[in-house]
Amino acid sequence: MFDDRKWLSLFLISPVNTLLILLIAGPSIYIVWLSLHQSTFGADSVFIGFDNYVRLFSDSIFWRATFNTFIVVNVIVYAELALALMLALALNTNFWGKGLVFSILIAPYAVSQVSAVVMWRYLLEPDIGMFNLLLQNFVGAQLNWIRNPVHGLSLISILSIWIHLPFTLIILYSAISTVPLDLKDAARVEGASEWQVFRKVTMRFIAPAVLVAMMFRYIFATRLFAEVWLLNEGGPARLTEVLGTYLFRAAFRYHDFGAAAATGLAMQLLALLVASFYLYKLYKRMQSDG
Amino acid sequence: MREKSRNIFSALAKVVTVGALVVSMATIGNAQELTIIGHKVHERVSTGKAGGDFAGEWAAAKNTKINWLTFNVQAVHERLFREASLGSTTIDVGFAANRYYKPQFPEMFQALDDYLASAPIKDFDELPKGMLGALTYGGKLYGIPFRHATAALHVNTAILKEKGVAVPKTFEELLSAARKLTFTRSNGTKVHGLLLDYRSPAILTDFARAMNNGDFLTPDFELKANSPDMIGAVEEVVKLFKEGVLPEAFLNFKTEDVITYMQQERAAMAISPFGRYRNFNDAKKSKAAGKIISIAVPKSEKLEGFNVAPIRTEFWAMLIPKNSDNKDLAWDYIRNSVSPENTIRAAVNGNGPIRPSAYADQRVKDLVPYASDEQAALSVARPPLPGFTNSARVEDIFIEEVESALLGLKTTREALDSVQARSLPLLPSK
Amino acid sequence: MDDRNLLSAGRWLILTIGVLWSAFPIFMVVSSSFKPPLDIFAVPPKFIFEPTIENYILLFQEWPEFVKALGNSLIITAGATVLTAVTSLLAGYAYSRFHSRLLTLSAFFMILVRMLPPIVVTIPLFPAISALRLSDTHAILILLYAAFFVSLATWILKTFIDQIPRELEEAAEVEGASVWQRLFKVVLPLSIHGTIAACVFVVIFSWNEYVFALIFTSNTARTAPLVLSEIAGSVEGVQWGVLFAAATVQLFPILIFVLVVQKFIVTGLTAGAVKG
Repeated sequence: MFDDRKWLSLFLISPVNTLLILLIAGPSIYIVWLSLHQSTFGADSVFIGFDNYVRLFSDSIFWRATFNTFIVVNVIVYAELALALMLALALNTNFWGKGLVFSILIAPYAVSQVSAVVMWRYLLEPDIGMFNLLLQNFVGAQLNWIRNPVHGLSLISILSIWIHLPFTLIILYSAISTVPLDLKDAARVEGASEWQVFRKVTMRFIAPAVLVAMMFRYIFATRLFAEVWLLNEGGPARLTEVLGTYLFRAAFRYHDFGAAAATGLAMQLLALLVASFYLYKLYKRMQSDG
Repeated sequence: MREKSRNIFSALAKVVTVGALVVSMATIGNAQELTIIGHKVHERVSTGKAGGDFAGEWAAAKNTKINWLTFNVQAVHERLFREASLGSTTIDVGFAANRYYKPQFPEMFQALDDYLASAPIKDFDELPKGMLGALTYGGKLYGIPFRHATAALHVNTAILKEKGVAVPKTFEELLSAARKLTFTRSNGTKVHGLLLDYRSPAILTDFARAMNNGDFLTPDFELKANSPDMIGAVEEVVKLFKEGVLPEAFLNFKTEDVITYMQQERAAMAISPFGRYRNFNDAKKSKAAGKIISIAVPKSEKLEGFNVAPIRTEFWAMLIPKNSDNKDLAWDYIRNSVSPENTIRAAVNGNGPIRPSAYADQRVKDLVPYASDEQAALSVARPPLPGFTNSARVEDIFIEEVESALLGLKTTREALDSVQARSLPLLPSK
Repeated sequence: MDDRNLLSAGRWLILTIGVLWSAFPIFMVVSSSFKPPLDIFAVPPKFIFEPTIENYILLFQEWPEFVKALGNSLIITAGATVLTAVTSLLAGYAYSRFHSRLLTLSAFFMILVRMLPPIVVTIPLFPAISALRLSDTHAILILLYAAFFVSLATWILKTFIDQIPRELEEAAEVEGASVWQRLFKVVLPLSIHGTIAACVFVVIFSWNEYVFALIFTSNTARTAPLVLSEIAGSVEGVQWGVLFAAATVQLFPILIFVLVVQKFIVTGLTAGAVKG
C-alpha cells in the first residue's frame, strides 16, 4: 500500500533527479562502456576489453598526474580550510563596513578561471611581473614557476586557493555566525580562554559545516584543470601534469575517447576514495535525521 | 526585505524575456546560410579592409549569409572533426592545418575531385604539389590549401646596431649573433638574442634543416628522432637555452609570447612565420615598430644546393564535411576564395598566399616588404612532418623529452633516443 | 584586557591581509585595462599613468561578438538559475518534510553522481545533443548548468527549510490548505533568502563556465568566457590591454551581483532570518 505522501515526495524530487539522470548519470553509464572500447573520430568503436586500463596504469605520466593531483588537492583543501576559518572568525563581530569587507573577500569567486589565470600570470610574469620584481628585490629570487615544477605546482595551488577560498569561507562563516553567543559567554564565565572557547564551543558547533565544505571541495578540487592548462599545460616535461590535464589530452588532443573515459573513471574513483570518509559521516547524519 | 527580493525576481524575469526577444530577432536572417569554422585570422584575411572583403562580396552575390565560427587553433580542429563525425552538421566549410591531417579524413570529409572536374579552380596547377599531396588519401583530394605560414628570421635592426652586430648571412653567423645580442639593460631587463615559437618537433626541425637539411619524420614516415642531424639541432637549442640566449620562459613559450617579447624589445631576433612582421611592427602595440625586418632564414655554410635554409612551412586548407547539406555552395565559396585575384587580395589583408604568382603582384610587393624573401623561402620550404593518427602523441613525447634535456634532467642524446623508442610504435604501419 | 587587544589586533591583521590578497589581482587587472598598451608591462611598473579608454574602444571594435556573448551569458545564467531554484525548492522541501529509505538513498545518489568530472560527460553527450538538435542552443547550457548545481542547491534548501517551523504549515493545514498551497503560500515566501543563497553558486558558475560552452555552442548561444579565452589565445599576439578590458567588462556585472546579494548569502545559509 502506497500512501499519498510517498508519491508526493517522489513527485517533488523527480525534476531534480530527472536532470541528474538524463545529463549526468545516464552518460556516465555510457562512459563505462566507452572505457572498454577503442574510439576516435571517423572510425567505428572496437571492443578491446581492459586495454585502455592496462595502458593507463602502465603509463608513468598517469601515476605522476595522480600523485600531483593528490598532493595539490590536499594542500588546497586544508589551506583553504585554515585560511577560511581564520577569516570567518575574524569576521564574526560587528564593525562598520563589514558587508564591503565580506564582499571583497568573496570577490575572487566571481572571477572566471580564464581571467584569474590572466591576472596571476600578469603579476608573476618572469622578469617583468610585479610580484616577481618585488620578490627579486626583497628575497633575491623569483617564483620560477616556468622552470621549477615545485614552484609551478605551488603557483597552481595559490591560484586555486585564490579562486575557491570564498566558497569555503561562505560556508564556514555562515556556520560560525550560528554559534549562539550565550554558549560562548557561558564558557568564558567558567574561565575558558579564547582558544578553549574556540575548541570546545565554536569548533564543535561548526563541525558539520566543515565536513560538508571539505567534501564538496575535495570533489571539485580533484577536477583541477583550467588553472594548470592555462598556466603551463602540465609542463615543463609534464612534471606538473594533473589528472584533469591528462584526461583533457586524451579526449581533446589525441581524440582517444576510450582512454579518456578510463581516466575519467579513475578520477572519480580517486574523488570517491578521498571523499568517502566525509560521505560516510554525512550518510550517518542523514539517517539519524530521518 | 521579502518585497525587495520579489522585485529582484520579477526584474530578472523581464530581463530574460527581453534578452530572449533580442536574440530571436537576431537569428532571423537570410534563407541561405553558409557556416565556416576557422581561426579568427581566416576571417580577417577574407573580410579585411586593405584588400577588400571578398567573402562578403561573394555572399552578397549569392544571397547567402556567412556564419564565421572562430576558435583558437586546437579548438578549431577539435570542433571540426567532432562535427564531421556526426550524422549531420551545420558546418559547411572548415579550415584545418597540416599537422592535424590524418588518415581518417575520407570518413569525415568530402572528396573534391568531382567538384574540381565540374567547376574547376582557375590556374589550379599553380597550387603547390606538396600541399595537395598532404591532402590526398587513397588517390582522392580532400582539401584546398588557403594559407601558408613559412618561417622567417625577424631581426630588430636597432638592437643589432646598438651592439654593432651585422644582419646574419649564414646560420653560423645567426648563432654567434644571437649570443652577442644577449645582454642586460641598465634598468635590469634582459634582452635575449633569439626566440623560437615552441618546443615541438616542427619548430626544432628548423635547426636540423638549416644545418644539414635534416628531418624529424620524413613524409614516408621514417622516424629520425635520434639521427645525428636532430641530435645536433637539439643540442644547439639546449646550449642556447643554458647560455640564456633563449629565455627561461621558452619552457612555456607559445607563439603569443614571441610576439610579446619582440614587441617589448626583450628579444633581438626570432624565427617565426613571415606574417608576424605586421605584429612586430604594429605602431600601436609595439615598441619595436619600424625596427624589425623579416628575411629568409639563412642556411649553414656547409649546406650545399640551397640559397636559404629549407625551413618549415605550415599551411591551412579548406575542407567540406561529408555530412554537410550545403556542399555545392561550400565548393563555390572555396573556389572563389582561392582564385588568383582573391589570393592576392587575401595577401594584401595579411594572408600568406599559396600561389607563387601572388608575390609578383605590385599590390603585394607594396604592402609586404618581405615578399621576395618569403618567395625564396617558400620555394625550398616544406612541411615539417606529415600528419597521422597519433601525431599529437608523438609531438607531446618530443616536447616532454626536449624539456627534460632543457632542464638538464637528461642528455640530449638520451632524450632523443627515448623519443625514438616511445614514438616508433605510434607511427602508421608502412 | 591585553588579551582582548591582542585578539582585536589579530582580527584586523587577518582581515587586512585577506582583503589585499583578494582584491589586489583584481585591482591590477582593472586598473591596467585603463593603461595605454605600451605602459602595461613597463619596468618598473607604473602606478600613475594617464587613464585611457583606448582598450575598451579596441575591444568593441575588434571583438563585436563580445556584446552578443555577454547577452547570451545573461540569458543562460538567468535560465539556469530559475530552473535550479524551482527544481531544488521542490526537492529541498521533499527531503526536509518527508522521510523514507528511498529518499535517503536518492539524496546519497545526488551527491555521488555529482562527483563525475563534467568534462567526461561531454564525450557521450555531444552526439546525443547534436542528434536532438540542441547543439548551440541556450536551452542545453541551461539544462547542463542546472544539472550540475541542483545537488548543492537542494542540500542548502533542505537545510534551510528544516529551520522553518512545521507549526506554520500545520496551522495552514488546519485551515484546509493543500500541500501545494502550503508550499507556495507558507514555505516559499519564507525561503527567499535560502533560495538566493542556493542560487548564488549556480549564477556564478553559469556566468563563468567554459568547457560545456566550448563544446556545445558555436554561434547563437556562444557565451562571454569563450570570447574572453579567444582574446587571450589569439595567435596574433595577446593584446593585454584589450584582454584586461574584456576581463573587466565580464567581471563587472557578477561583482555587482555578489555585492548586492552578499547579505542574503549568510542569512540564507544560516536560516537566521526565520529564527529572528
